[in-house]
Amino acid sequence: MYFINGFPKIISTIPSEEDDCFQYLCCNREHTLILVLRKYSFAIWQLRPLLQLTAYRRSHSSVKNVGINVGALWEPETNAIVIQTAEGGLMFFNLDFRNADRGCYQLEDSKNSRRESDELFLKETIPYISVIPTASIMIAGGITSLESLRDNVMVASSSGFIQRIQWDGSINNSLTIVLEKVPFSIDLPQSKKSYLSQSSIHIIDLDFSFLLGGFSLVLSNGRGALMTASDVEFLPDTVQCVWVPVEPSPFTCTAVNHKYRLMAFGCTNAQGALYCIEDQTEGIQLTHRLQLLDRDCPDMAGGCGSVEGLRWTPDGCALAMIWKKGGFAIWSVFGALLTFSLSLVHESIPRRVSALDWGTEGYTMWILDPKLLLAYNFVKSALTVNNCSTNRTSVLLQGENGIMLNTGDRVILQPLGAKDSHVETKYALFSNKSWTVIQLPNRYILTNWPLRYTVVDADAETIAVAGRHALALYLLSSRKWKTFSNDTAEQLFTVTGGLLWWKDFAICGAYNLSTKGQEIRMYSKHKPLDHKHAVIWKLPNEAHVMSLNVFRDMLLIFSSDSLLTISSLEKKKVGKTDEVSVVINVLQMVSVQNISPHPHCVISVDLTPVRTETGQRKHTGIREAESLLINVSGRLWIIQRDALDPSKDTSDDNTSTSSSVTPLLLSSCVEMLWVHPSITPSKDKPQLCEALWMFCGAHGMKVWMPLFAKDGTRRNTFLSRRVMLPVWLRIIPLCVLFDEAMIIGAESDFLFESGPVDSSANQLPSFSINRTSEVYLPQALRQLLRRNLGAHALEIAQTCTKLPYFNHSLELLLHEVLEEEGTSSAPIPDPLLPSVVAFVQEFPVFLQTIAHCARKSDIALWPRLFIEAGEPIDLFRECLDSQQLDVAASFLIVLNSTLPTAAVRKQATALLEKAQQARNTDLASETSRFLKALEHEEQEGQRHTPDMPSSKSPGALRTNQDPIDLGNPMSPQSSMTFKYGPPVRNKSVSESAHGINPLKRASSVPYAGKDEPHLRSVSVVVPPIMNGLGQSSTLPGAMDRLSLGEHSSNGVSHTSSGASLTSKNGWSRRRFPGHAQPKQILT
Amino acid sequence: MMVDLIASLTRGAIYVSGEGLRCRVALLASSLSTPVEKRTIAFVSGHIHCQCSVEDTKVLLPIKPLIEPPEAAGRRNSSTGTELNTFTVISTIPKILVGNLTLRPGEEFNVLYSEVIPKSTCPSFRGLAVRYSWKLAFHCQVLGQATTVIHIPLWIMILPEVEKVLLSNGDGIRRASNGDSAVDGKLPEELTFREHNADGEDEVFVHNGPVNLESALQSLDELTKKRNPKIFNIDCQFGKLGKLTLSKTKFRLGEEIYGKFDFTDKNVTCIQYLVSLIGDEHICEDHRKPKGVAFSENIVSRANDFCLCLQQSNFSLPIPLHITHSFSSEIIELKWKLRFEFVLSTEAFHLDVPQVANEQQSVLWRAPVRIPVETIAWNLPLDIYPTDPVQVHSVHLRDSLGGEVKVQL
Repeated sequence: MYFINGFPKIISTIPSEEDDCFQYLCCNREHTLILVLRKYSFAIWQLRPLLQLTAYRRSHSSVKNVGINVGALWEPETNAIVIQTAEGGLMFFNLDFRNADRGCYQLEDSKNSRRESDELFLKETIPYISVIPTASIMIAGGITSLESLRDNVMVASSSGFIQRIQWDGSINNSLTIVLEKVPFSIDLPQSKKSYLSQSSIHIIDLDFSFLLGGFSLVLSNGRGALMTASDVEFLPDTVQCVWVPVEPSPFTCTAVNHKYRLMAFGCTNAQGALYCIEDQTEGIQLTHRLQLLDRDCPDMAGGCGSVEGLRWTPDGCALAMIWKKGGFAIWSVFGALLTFSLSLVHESIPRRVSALDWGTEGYTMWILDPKLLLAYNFVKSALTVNNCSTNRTSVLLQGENGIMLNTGDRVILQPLGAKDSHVETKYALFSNKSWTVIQLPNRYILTNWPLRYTVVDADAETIAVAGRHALALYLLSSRKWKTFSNDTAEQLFTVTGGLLWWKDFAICGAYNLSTKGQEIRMYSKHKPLDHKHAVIWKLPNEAHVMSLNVFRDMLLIFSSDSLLTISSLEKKKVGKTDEVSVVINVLQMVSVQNISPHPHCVISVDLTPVRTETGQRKHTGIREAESLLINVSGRLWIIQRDALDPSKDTSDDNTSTSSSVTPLLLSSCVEMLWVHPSITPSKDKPQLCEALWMFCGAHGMKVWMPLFAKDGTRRNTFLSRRVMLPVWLRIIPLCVLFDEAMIIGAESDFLFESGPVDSSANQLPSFSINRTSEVYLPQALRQLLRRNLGAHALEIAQTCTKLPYFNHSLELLLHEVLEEEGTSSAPIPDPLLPSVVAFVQEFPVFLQTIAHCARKSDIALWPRLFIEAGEPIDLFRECLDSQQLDVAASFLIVLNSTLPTAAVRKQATALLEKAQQARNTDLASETSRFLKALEHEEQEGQRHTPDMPSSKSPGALRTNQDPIDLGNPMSPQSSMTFKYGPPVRNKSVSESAHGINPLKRASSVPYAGKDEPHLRSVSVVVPPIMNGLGQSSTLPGAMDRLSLGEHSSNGVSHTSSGASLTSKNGWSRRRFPGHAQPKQILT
Repeated sequence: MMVDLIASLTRGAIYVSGEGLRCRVALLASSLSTPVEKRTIAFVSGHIHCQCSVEDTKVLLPIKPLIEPPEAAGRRNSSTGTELNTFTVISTIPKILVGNLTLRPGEEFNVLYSEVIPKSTCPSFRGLAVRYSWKLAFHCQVLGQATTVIHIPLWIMILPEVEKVLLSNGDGIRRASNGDSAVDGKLPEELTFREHNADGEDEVFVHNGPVNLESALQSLDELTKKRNPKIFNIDCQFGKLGKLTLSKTKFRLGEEIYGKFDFTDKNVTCIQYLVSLIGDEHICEDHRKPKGVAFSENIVSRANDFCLCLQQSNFSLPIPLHITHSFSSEIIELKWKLRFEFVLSTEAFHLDVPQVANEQQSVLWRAPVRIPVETIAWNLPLDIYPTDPVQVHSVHLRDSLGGEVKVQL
């Protein structure tokens, strides 16, 4: 998960009169150096500190002979580069590192002033390098693409050859692959092979992945293929190709993801398509498409142009895409849109992204425009590189210079007031949207940049980070960093993979640079960071640790030999000192070779209490490790405990490698997963807390939820079934709050910059990162109801009734289904609304939910709602009988629009009486005011006929995102007296309201103004912002920042000036006819 | 039999002065011991006070402490080793919550303490020379025992010019609480605010309720919102360095300071810069020791960049939520500033590879090996305002400001 952050850094611009424009850029394999190619020259930059190391301008005659620079390629070991020219020339350059140690850019203080702060001194020398031209050759037919394979450059030419050229410039013709002679098949290897019919077809783009076992190709006919060989050297005779399934629009470029084994193709219609190799048949399968939604960009193909380039981040977790018309987009690995920008600047200054690459660890993205070179900063979720369980309990983002932490919202028991030595309490939401920004200690990061791994402990009290060498700890309570005392201590080891907290210890998988051995090192947070306090476990084999995870007192070590070691951890006191040691016992080793083609493909390993329906459950009161979840290239495998139970192996060979386990495939396209972190099973919300959540990018979120048999309690249920439900989120999830039924995440938000006008050429979009949240309850309930699992939905919902936003979740559920089914043009074969209404009926807030939902929906949808929910008059009576007077008042508007005035008056009078009996003076006075207005209307005798411009357009203001409160609950305007009728779909407001924005116009309507009766009917559309579903928490003021999904905009509006005027039951008092002079509502 | 007193603040320990505070106090008689025994609690009273600790070596105390602390007047706090002189700046009148209460084993008594945090010029502050610590204190006495004092530390921020807000916004003064006050049914203490009118006339304003936080925060929004960006041309003795654009100079806690350097128009080259957010603790002249230092600096965040090869660079400095906003009290003034340190070179520096007339000749550009540099510094004052206490709450959860205390009487 990558999030663009802050302002762009403008590195270099080219004056408009200068012809030597930027052409291309690419980073070396380690992403530490970047080659910036211009038409006639090129430069090599170091990424940190950002400096130009060397540059080279070709002679005029050379440009004349072989053409301008168009592309380039780094030698894998960063010893050489090759430049591709427009006329088919290849120019090789060696990087001269001979004087690198001498250093350059050495700053020398003058006598008068000295630098004082440590930050202003560089600890490492900047290499003094230059380039030496070595060879230059011409390729017949022109070059289309370059790629490196071992010691060779693979050069694809438009004559249909792939030539192999060594880095000294010599061509090995015997290895040339001729495309015409390569067999192509639909499915490998069974299906029939055929050869290309047209000789003019050639390769236009290629990318190699060792883990994929071949090249991803784009051919000039717009089709894609995977080129593999039975020989690792890709000898011409052994090469064969498999066609990628045909897409509606031709491909333009390709990029492969090693870790997730995906081939990404860009298409001419601006979309992207990603393919994986299916395990069984080895055929190529479409996993997902990269496509902007209509709400983001209505005309994607037209607005963006064809895809020009694709780049995966160094860790393979995100894909950057650039379009011909100048925009770019960042997608998560399985296709969730993270950020996109269609134009980098104002429309007045056309600018296009022509090339793009990721900097070190993906913390920067370099963007090239022909006249401009700039870099954006990114922060990424700590889960991208360190997928351990504690990092999933809060939102932790890591960037180049710092860490951002958000621990999420919490529902806390709150005292309300005191009565007779009994303090009433209720649950309230503590929202926490601010980031704790932690800057990395200069002492550590100066020598150990870049930051690689970060981890926060489960209670969000301590953070550990690891850069190039060693690690550093941060205590949030004291806001202090702990680092090793000197550089030599830091140089001792480097973290190879995995960093986590277990109790007081930061545990890392390390490579000891002095003994050249693999180790697990543990450092206590209570001790100074020093090797003498470290607990070190020397691993017996050579394979280095790739990732770590912990479950309770069990440590999982995944190492590069594809072995998973499960061991137990135990704290032990050493002698009589306070020194604490950790005893590690290896319980079991599991080989994952049969599910993972390469250890690099293992995304995460987890020991979890999640179980499939088979197997027996032991009731020990604590959540035991029941299964092993392994994510291999997005495929999530589950291995049951029975198969790997360490306690079963009592014999001596309990450390033996067992590979006879049968893993089950749970889901594919999994990016991240979440399991409830607590040790004890939750009694409050067993279903929600036992659920397994998976984020699947474009396929949305999936939840694997347990369903307990209805007759018995959970304790007696030996067999629990599970159901997989899709949940569609509007946010990018980073953390699931199980107890709060909420998912939190982050997003990059466009930051408007009101810069000075004169420097408009430099105005580029900038971004800030917001914490987002969404309550998943309505979605999950809806999916259960859809599957006729109403009983289970009810059971789950009843565990959540204490949540402060539970009522709103019900409302949201009802509202969404009503909206969808009410506005659908096609008949719905199996409508969900009846079951949703029946479901809501099970809760005491049924009447309130119906009333609120009605008020927030289009009048046209009311008949649909009340067919299911019952006649409004009955509901109103029910409210009166059950003393829910405020709710009854809400129903008055419904009555007002469905009954004749006399009947309404009768009901209103009944309400008034009840209100007076209950000594609810507020409500009584409001009701009497309503009655008065009703009377007034009657006396006037002329009820407004619905011919007013916007009289029938209450829903016209609604957009898909913002269902609004219909409001005006009691206004007895005759314009609303039409009976149940056909849905009134309104587009008419904008035309009919005399060209005035109806929202604005309506807001300034004086309701009491007798002289403007024709305007009064407009007030039907007024009150959208005051009291949406967003008003949920009871905490004062700004605490209330909970955004309930799409209603977030309502929540925000709370701080607007009118908020304090909202009455308890959610209406704005000034809406009543005859009320005092209204004020401006909308500002 | 033991009696446990549990006091928990309803909304954490972070408040703005003038805001209403509520604390739930529970008295629990443990049921473990013999059932016949019962305890009588003579009284429990609560009050809020602010104490000022000054370091004697740095600060000259006012001759007369402002208010004598109700307990242990002028007590020396020797735990830190340095000489600290502590006195109470402000205190509310103690409220009796419980009087002559008898509890049987297993019984529980709950009471809600509510109080308006008095207005003051001193926010909670942990400085080097002066510390202001706000506390909610409960005195309780079990019959026949000594009085126990329980402290709950508070973190108080001061909203600037709240009076103005109250005056300009007529309905800003409203009871935020829903009428539920302490168990004794008393309304919160009446407060007298001296309002400063726009006309310059002073008038006494009396209202019996806490300030409306929402409208006060709104005025703060207004105060700190982005207006026209501030552009600074940076010149020094060697020439023009470039331009700095700051979106604003009035910030709230928790915000980020974004700054942008533009080096296109220059005649000296900036090689490197370091920007630090610094809090200046400035002892007022009257209270300064004759030979003592006037102020001490506290660096809270830093950013630097090697900008030699850049046309535009930018930095973002987080303003941590845990720091104290700008304020000035009688003794001390806390000012915030950005300090820029520029490392610059007077030599011209070109990144472009020079062109040559010779058709056949290619040109190699190499980096300079040594660069003689000068260093200059520049301070830019900033105003830092408080923010929504709920937002601040999250950062103080982990330190002593948990807002809950459990004591066995």
